[in-house]
Amino acid sequence: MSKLNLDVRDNYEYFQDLSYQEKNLATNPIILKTKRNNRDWLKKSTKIDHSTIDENITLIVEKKLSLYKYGIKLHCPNFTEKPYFRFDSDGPAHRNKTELPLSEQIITTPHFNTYDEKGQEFAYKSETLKSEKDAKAIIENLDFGISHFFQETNIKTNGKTDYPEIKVNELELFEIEPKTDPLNEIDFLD
Amino acid sequence: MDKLLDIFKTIKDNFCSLTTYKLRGESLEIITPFSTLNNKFVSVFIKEIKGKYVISDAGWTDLNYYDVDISEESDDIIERIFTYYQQSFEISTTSDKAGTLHYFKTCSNPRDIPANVYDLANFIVGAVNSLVIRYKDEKEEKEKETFRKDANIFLKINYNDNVKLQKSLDDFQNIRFNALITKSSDIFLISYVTGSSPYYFTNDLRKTIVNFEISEKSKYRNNIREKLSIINDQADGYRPEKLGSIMDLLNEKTTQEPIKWSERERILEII
Repeated sequence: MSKLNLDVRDNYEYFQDLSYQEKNLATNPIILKTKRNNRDWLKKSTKIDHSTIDENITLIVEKKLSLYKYGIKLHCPNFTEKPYFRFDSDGPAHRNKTELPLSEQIITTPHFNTYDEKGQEFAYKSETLKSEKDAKAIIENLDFGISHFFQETNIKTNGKTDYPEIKVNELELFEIEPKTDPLNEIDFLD
Repeated sequence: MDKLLDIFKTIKDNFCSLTTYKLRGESLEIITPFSTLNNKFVSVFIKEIKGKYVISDAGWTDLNYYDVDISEESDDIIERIFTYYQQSFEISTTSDKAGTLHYFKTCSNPRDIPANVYDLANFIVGAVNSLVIRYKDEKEEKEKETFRKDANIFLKINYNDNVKLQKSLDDFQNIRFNALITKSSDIFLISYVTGSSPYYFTNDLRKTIVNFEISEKSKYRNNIREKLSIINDQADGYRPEKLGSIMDLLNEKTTQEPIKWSERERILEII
């Protein structure tokens, strides 16, 4: 939303700590389940422990089955209502309304979504995401996305610089090959 | 002169750089330079199918990939806006196997693709923006809700089960009175008036006047002992000097002077 996040604006240092200070995931593997109201999406929310902040923080992983698209988010409801840090593997490009020239205000996916010190939402690509080859690998592979997210937001797994395994509770779902073409098999012409 | 042309060139270059693409199997995603109120650039997808070109939103609008905070209020306004935009840009719809709605246009000549992209992209901007905008006046909603609650509690405390809230007369089911008090065969109609601005306050007054006018046509009119209004004289919209003639109209329809909220005990003398 173009509305400012006042929680972030008024507690910017705290928000930075939440985003980038060391955190730990104690659950391994992460087992995704189909969403109740949408069989095309898998989801799992897991608890994350922060090294210096004693708050309920959740790591949310959501993955679409039919197409290559997934999201990874950090959520701290006591701090702010919406997830405060996100990774989108696909979807619309974001416009960063900054003082940069117009042509530099566009940030395509895959990108991270966070907030600036004014509480304004903005998107950015890490150096890894700026590399077309690395970006492609991340787009097509949730495991790579998770490890990159963990690197970016300083999350350890069971105290080590390690990454959790991602599993699915219904094994048949693993067999589904996502399509790359979003207009596949649709009746546009009568 | 050159300086101005340089400015133009910078603008044109920047606008052009915003337009980019992604290859997706047999489809081409065009990331257009048009963005929504919540700062997402609109994408359209192009695919050649049976000799025709289809330009579609890939269901992104229906799937809310533009990440709008969905709320169910103002559904009717939003629907009208969607329809208006759809008709203006001549947009067709179809559903995929999962039931997702795709908005699209088609053309046979590749020369027509840019115009179709332009139309579809602008449709998406308008449609998504209509979902982003909040239509209800939150301050007004809060004022109405709070006053109603306070007045309801006050009446309930004093009249217990004799008071029914949001009640209509049997023969005019569409007209609800904020409170209806019954004592044996006597009916007392009560209407609340409040507003966070003079505009809303006056509207509320008008509603009360009309409702009481309609009650005069009810078969129960001879049982209606009192028609009362409780007006919130502590509301931001209460400006007695501005109300003038409309208060006279209210007095024609009510059986007593309006009861100010700050003097609400007066109602106990009447009922």
